[in-house]
Amino acid sequence: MGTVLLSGLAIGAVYASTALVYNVMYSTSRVLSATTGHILMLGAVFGAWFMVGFGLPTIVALVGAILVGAAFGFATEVVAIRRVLNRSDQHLWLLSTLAVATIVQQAVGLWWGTEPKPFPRVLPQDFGAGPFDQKYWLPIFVMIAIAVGLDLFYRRTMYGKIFLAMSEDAFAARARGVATDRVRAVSYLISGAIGGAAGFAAGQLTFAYFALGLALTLNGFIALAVGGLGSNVGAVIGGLALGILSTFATYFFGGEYQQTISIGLLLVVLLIKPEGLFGARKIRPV
Amino acid sequence: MKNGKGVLVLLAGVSLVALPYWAGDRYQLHLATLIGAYWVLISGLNLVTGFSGQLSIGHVGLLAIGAYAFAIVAGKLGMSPLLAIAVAGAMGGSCGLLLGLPALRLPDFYFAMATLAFGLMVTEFVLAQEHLTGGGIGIAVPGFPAPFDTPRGTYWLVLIFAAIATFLTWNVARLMWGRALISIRDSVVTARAVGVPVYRAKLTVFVFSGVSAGVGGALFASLQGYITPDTFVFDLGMFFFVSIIIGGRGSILGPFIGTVVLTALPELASPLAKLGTFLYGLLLLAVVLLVPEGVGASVQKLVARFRPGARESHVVTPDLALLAAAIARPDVASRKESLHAAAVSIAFGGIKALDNISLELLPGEIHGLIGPNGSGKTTLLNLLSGYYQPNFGSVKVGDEDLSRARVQRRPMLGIARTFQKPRLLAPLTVLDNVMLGCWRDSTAGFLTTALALPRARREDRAAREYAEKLVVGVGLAHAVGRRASLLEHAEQRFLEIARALAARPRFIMLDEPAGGLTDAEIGHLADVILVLRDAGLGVLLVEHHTDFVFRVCDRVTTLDLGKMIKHGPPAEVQADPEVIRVYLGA
Amino acid sequence: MRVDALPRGEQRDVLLQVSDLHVAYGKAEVVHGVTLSVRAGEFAVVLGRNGAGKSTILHAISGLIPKRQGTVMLGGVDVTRSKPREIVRGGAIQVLEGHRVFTSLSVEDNLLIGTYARNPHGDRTKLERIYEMFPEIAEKRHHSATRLSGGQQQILAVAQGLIGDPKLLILDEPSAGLAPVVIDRILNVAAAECARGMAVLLVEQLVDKALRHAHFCYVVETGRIALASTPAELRGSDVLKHIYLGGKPPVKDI
Repeated sequence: MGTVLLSGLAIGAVYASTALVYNVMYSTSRVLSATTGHILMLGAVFGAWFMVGFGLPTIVALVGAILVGAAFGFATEVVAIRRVLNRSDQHLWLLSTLAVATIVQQAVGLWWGTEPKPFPRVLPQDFGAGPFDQKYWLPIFVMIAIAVGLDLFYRRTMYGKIFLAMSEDAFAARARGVATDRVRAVSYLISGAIGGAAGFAAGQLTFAYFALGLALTLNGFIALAVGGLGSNVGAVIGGLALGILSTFATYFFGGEYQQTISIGLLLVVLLIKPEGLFGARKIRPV
Repeated sequence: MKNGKGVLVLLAGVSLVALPYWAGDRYQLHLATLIGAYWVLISGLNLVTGFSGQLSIGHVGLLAIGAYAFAIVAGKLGMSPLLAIAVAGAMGGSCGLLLGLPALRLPDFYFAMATLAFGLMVTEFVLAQEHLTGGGIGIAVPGFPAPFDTPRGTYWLVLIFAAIATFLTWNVARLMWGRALISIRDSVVTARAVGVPVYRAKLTVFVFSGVSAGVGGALFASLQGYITPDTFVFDLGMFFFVSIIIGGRGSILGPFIGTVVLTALPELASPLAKLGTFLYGLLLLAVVLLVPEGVGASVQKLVARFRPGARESHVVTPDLALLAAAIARPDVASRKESLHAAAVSIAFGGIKALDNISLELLPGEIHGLIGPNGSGKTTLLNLLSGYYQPNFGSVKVGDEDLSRARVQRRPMLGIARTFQKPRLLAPLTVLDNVMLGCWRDSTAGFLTTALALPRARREDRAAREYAEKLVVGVGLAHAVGRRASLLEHAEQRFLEIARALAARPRFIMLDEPAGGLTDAEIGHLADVILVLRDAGLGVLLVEHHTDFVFRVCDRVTTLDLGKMIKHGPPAEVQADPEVIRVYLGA
Repeated sequence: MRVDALPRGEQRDVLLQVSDLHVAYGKAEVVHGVTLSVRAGEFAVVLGRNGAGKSTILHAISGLIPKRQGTVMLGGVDVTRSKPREIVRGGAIQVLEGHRVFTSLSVEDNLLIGTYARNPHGDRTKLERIYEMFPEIAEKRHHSATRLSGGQQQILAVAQGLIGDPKLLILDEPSAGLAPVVIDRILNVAAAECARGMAVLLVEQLVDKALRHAHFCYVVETGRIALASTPAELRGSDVLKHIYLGGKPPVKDI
């Protein structure tokens, strides 16, 4: 039972990290990017490749995964967001990020293969470590680091405050001399880096699997919607709740209806509070 | 030109029917049949995604439901396959209803994710209910009875359904419903303002797309002969979605070509086949960045640029006599009820935007509403048109209380408005935009429209005739068939007025219509407003352009900081010391 | 163009020169060839009724919206194509209409953002002077900006502009929705800074208060400069009344 709870927390931490990444990108661009889950996927896949394919030490592989994530985040902003935000059509960013997500998922599938590949040990440890297995604790630890790091960033650094200002009123921020285009690009870079690290940490739990992107984009989004768009506290709570719920459901009822149960959770929350548990009243139903 | 089009369609139809004879080999016939089955689904999805703008990326789930329903009912339960198709369609429709009811209330990204999750849920269900569906192993699918049991026969059966699907969706596209759906996609505010029941319309087409997906699924399954959950992966859903987007939203032919191209492409060059979904993603990105309206519309624009002809005119010249004749109606002239706000107050976050305001708009009168920034003019207008509800007081037409009535009800009550920033459906023509305003008089339901029954065609024709008169009347005769995106600002303003008039209103409220107009254009605007007044309409004119207001209005109300300052004939208001103080601070 | 030929008091350098500015929103051109200038240390006022294009002119000057035609020179440098950040660093700081401060930040952070353009980490040394100028803000320096009243938020917005040491402070209708006491406070502060050498470009609807401090006035009517003159001349004539309330056609634009 304890292991069930632990693995629920672990996978929940992965969902929460994804939701946090969504929030960072949303704050400066008002866009929910379909590529979010794929950033973590790249972290896992490239992390495995660096360590297994090149035999690189863990730290180097981690840095590599972060760089890959950051590059992908930045490329997403340049290709799919920047040109599209100016157009009047509301739907275009959804299409462009969906396109980029598809491209990257298929490309990785073609190159890496469509079978999930094992992710090597990051720290030396036996495989019979039970509840102390790093595959549970690494994602949890990284999620906490990300959440705390973001909080410090927003509350203690000038740049973080610029993010908040831009998120609230981009026009007024420009009038104050904030280079909003550049800040947005940097925010996508940062979210890419965060996602890369989170994906690396999650690798042993999720395996290096090309289809991970879509699964995390969806589940990370459910976590975000449950917790409340724009709230980092909500992202963490939503992610952990989702992780625990789906793991316990699998334990008690078998894993057949995991997706259905996750969506069920979302529907219940949305019916009670459409903006999510900690969300601001921004999302208005049609 | 219509005859030319008709001949083309006939030729296309004949060649499609004769395809089994001129298509190369069996494999190509199979491919054509597959395209037909896909098209049955995609034509329905087209109405959802291409027309009403709901980005459903998980529609493959409905295909799966239709496929499995057919396989189980015709295979395991031994029902006649043709009947089983109907069951599959019904299943698709019901699941479409179940999915659409909650999902269509969600904003864009949420909706897309919900459909994605639905697709995955269907797969889960299929895997879990092994005894019914064969689980991961899959299930065999029976073929069709004679005369449809040969490859040719199957092709013709699929062709029949594809033709039906095309017929139904083409009718919806070209009649009033098509315009209504496009308005939901491009400007929900406009849709509500003309009275389109947004949620109900979205749900209706979504259920229809469920039925077509179910039928398409049945045909598809029978064609495959054997289905497993792996057949219905996200990639297939992306394929449907991308066919529509690259073909071009808002058209029937575009997505059809998209379907053909995307199905045939991997077959033509086998290295491309391996790339499959990667290619779809690349194409989607290319289209979104380079030609967001779809390839079809861009080709249209390119052709239009090369067409010889004089430079297009953008001068608005109203035909006042025609306009007066068009809007003249005995029922309007005889009714004496006014639209009035009685002692309304409304506060936002502690700030009183309107404080005990009463305003009466009489029929056959032009009533001006002026006031400096923050006076509450726009709030009052929004209140009268149904966007806000007063905290105190009421909004009435005659004795009927409108305070709680939603925006969509206004056209039915004979109340129309224009907007400060013109809201148009950019890809539609001027005429189509005005015809949208005739939605108020459209009683034809979705099925009536899809089947092109006489009522739907009659209403469309009547709308077209009326809209044409209005377009010429307000001065846009030179641009009747022009895409609205090509209009200059002044033309857009007059187009909005024509669209508002198309709903045959008794009261029309104009939100800063003079903004951005030249003196000559303001003159035309004044002429048009006077014609409206003389026809018995009550006109509310909210304006900053005080000169224009005093010239044209019968009565003027001045607001400042949410309170009424002065109210009366223009000369009185203009000379009132309070009004002068409010503007000049002296 | 004949604006500069009118008597303007002591000769001072031209700090801001706007020439033949045309601005469009989509298809609609709302500013049709505006020419105006502000000299160093001058308090210039732009009047006009709503919808005349005043805010649009200001947004275009600060680079916040694109210009269809025309040039903007700041201190002799062509800033027509410059980004808003460069214009702020060049010394022209705009306070937007509607007390747009950042409610998700504290008062002090809001002020620091006002120094961001010149100092990416925020320049704390500038805070002292502003707190002295605006004690009511100083009291609440660590409070979230949401806890300020509307009037205090507007004062914060102006302070946010002043902290950047502008050579030209652009104020877009600071009076909107405020009590007269607050309006006076803001205008008095602006006038005091002006006396110390800062130029002010004030857009206002409230004619009387604006004219009190003005050295020079422009009147905008449907996207054009209808009149440019001293406050005394303006008060003496009927022009304003006609522009706001109609009647005789406005003075031919210059």
